[in-house]
Amino acid sequence: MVSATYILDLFIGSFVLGSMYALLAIGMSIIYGILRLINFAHGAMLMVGAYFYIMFLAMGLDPILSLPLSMALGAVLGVAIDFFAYRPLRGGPELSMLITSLGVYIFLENLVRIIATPQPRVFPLPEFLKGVYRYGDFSVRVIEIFTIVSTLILFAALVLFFTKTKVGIAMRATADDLEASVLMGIDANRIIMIAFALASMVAALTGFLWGGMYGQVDPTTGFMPGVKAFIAAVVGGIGSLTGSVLGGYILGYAEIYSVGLLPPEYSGLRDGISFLILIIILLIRPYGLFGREVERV
Amino acid sequence: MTLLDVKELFVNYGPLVAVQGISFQVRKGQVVSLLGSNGAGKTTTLRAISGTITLVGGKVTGGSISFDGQEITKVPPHRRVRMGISLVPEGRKIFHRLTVYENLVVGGYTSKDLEDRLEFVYQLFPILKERRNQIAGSLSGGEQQMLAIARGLMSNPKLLLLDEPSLGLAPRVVDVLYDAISKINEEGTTVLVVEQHVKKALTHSHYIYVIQTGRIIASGEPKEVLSMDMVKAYLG
Repeated sequence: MVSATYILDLFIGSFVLGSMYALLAIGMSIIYGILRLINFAHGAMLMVGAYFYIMFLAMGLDPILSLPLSMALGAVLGVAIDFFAYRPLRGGPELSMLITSLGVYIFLENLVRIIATPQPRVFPLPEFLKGVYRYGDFSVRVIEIFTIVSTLILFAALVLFFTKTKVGIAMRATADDLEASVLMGIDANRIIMIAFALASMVAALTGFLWGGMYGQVDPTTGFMPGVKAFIAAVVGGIGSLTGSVLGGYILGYAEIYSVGLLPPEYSGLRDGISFLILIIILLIRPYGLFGREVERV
Repeated sequence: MTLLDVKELFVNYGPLVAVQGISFQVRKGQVVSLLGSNGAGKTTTLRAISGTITLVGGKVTGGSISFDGQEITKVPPHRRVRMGISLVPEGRKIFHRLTVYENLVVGGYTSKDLEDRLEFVYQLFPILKERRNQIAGSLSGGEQQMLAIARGLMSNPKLLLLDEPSLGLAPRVVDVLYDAISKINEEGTTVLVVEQHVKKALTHSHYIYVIQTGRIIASGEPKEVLSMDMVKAYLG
């Protein structure tokens, strides 16, 4: 018989995993919304962000300083990738950018492999995130609470940014109609730059959370989360931020509960279940839960 | 004084020549109309002036456009808005998923006195104030056109370019729009309108150019243009 504590454990685990998927999916959605680019390199930004954090620690910096620094460096890298890899292709076929993003993923993974070796690295959490709270049978790790709280704070901040600030509203306008936004005096390149900075910064934070949750990172760490975030974004309706968040949590819950409640021999189906959800949702709603039909020009 | 001076303008879409050596002027403070049937090159001309021609795969291949005494052919489109050119595009192109208010905020992206501008456009189109929290995509066609014009005015332009503002709208709504255009002009904004709706253009313009297959075939004050036989035949 499954105990209530076990169900609660799964609930927390799902929330944590779903939060990380949602954070990555938001980044993919922001970039897709404006550039119509499915940025496969986004998963690599998670991995690189985690390595940036390890690098700053190795330089002797304080963990509390290393996290924001790794996020800032992630943002800079995201902007640089856009500048060198994607910007020269703007105005060309969308497929070229898509393929380039795959190339960028492979480049980043192998670059890290060369610089940091392919060996997994221990991900050192700061002291204050290491603890575990216990209440009878039930226990929750501080990093889990931190992940949930920081995700919720970030969601709130993003909502405020996109609805209350001029730049945030301009970003939504650009996603809605790029040509019209240029007619409003908006520099599309600047908006795209901000989108990459924002998405990459969030990915770097996700890298920190991911490393903290699983205790180690290696150069391939970003791959599966990237794929899952893509699924989450598509399930939610790519381009829709609300949809991405919802998609992230749907995947997180489906994965953890299916692994937790199915007999152990089926736990290998974990990734398959994500794809099954994707297929079912796309059969019922081809544009995802919150998606709308893309206008064909 | 000439605000906009287009000289020998050529525009291509790939190998296709859409505008073939058009020349015309817009004097400060006037309402000028560019008339012509579908495919005559009117929209292309406005896109060349606003600079968005490159976004749709077109290119200015010859001639010059000067605005307020400055050659602007090489100025990127978003900078032209800061210089004082605002285009209300064909098909309105409002931001469908944003609210009316958010559309106006984005329209005022370059503006320093957002509140004053809001006040101005709300006065011009009171319905927009009522609907300010509504999603723009849910407005009626006429209201969307009002929003598109209001949004174009948020940057406080010296020159407002209107691409077929009356297209697909009920006569009553067209009247409201043209009254607003006259008011905008009285407030000091120069207006260049592209129209198929000849009657409205004739009664509301100071000067008229008639364009056919990428060339200007006639120009003059409304009365003069109307009396030309070839124009009568062409515009019906």
